[in-house]
Amino acid sequence: MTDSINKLLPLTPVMFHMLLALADGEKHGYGIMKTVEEETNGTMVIRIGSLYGSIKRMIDAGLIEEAEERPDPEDDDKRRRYYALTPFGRKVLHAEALRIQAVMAMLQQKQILEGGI
Amino acid sequence: MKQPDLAIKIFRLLLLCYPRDFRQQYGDDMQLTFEAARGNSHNNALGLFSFWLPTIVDVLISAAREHALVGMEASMFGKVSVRQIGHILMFSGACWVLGAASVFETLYIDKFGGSDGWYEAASYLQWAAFFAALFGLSLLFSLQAGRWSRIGLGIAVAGHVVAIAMWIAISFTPVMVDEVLWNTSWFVVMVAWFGVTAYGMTQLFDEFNLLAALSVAAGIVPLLGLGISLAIEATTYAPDTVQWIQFSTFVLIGVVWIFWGWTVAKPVMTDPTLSMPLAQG
Repeated sequence: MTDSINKLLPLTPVMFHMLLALADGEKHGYGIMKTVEEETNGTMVIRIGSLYGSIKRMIDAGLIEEAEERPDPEDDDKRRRYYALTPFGRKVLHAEALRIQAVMAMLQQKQILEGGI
Repeated sequence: MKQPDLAIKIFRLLLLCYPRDFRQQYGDDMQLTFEAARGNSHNNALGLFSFWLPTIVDVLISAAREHALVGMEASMFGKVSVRQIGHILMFSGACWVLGAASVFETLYIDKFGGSDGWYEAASYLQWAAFFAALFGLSLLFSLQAGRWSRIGLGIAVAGHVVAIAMWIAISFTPVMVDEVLWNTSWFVVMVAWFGVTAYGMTQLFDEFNLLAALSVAAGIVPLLGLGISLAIEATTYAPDTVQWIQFSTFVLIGVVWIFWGWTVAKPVMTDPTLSMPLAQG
């Protein structure tokens, strides 16, 4: 399991932010797009084509899955799909977070973050 | 029934750029996402321009990428799992040993009444198997390999294609073939082997492992063997020695390829993720 997680690291920025967007619950495609845009303060905008290409590959890799639970039928459009993190996807996200944490510690140790540019 | 507006019609047309399976799976969902995104964009000329231009460009690029991945999955070797690629490598190695043995038999023993046709058939079998395995390898590693690895593999595959084309042309040439053409074909093969070596080296730089070391050996063994035999041929007249070195080199190539295949095939027996389709990630 550790090997298969490590093979996926480091995640691409798009993949990382998509997993992060799904970390607090299932979302539909547009929900993922908006969350990523908001969480990156607009620095990362994923367009529709790229979004669904990434969704397909992340499903193939077992990182996310189509969610079974759906909103109330009154609020739901049957054509819409919802996506959720799989347990494996959560582990990969956790491993990436640990990697970033180690990088942050290194940045602090080398005082890169102090003093600004 | 409410008719979809022009923007949705245009977007549905754009979706036709995607492979059919992809469109059937995600088309409706993409349309809903498009409608939501468009609803949030500005309706003035600048807003429309800044929404449509990146959307169209992105759809065209991502559709091309999906087609490329589908093409790779559907190609002759694309659906073959990693383990089967290993088996192809081992088969290729076995063909080299068999080919070398048959050439040796024809030249030295002639117990089975070997002919030029038998000799040529064995040689072609060697090269066909070598090329098939190399082509499979390039597909296998192209998605994981870095830029330099891909260049190495590209040189290797292109070199073998050119060399095989030249040998076929030589076989069908009615007059005695020009020595220059024959030597040039061997030079091209050496370039191809150099590509294999370069590919293996880039893997070694990344991480030292048996697979990478064997990749280097698969390129260096024939380079050295052929280089030494050519050097002997050029300096001293010792045809027997040259033949023996070439024969040993061919057998050694076979052995290296068999081990190379084994190292590829073996890990997947314990790691099921390596048996997943190639075009992912």
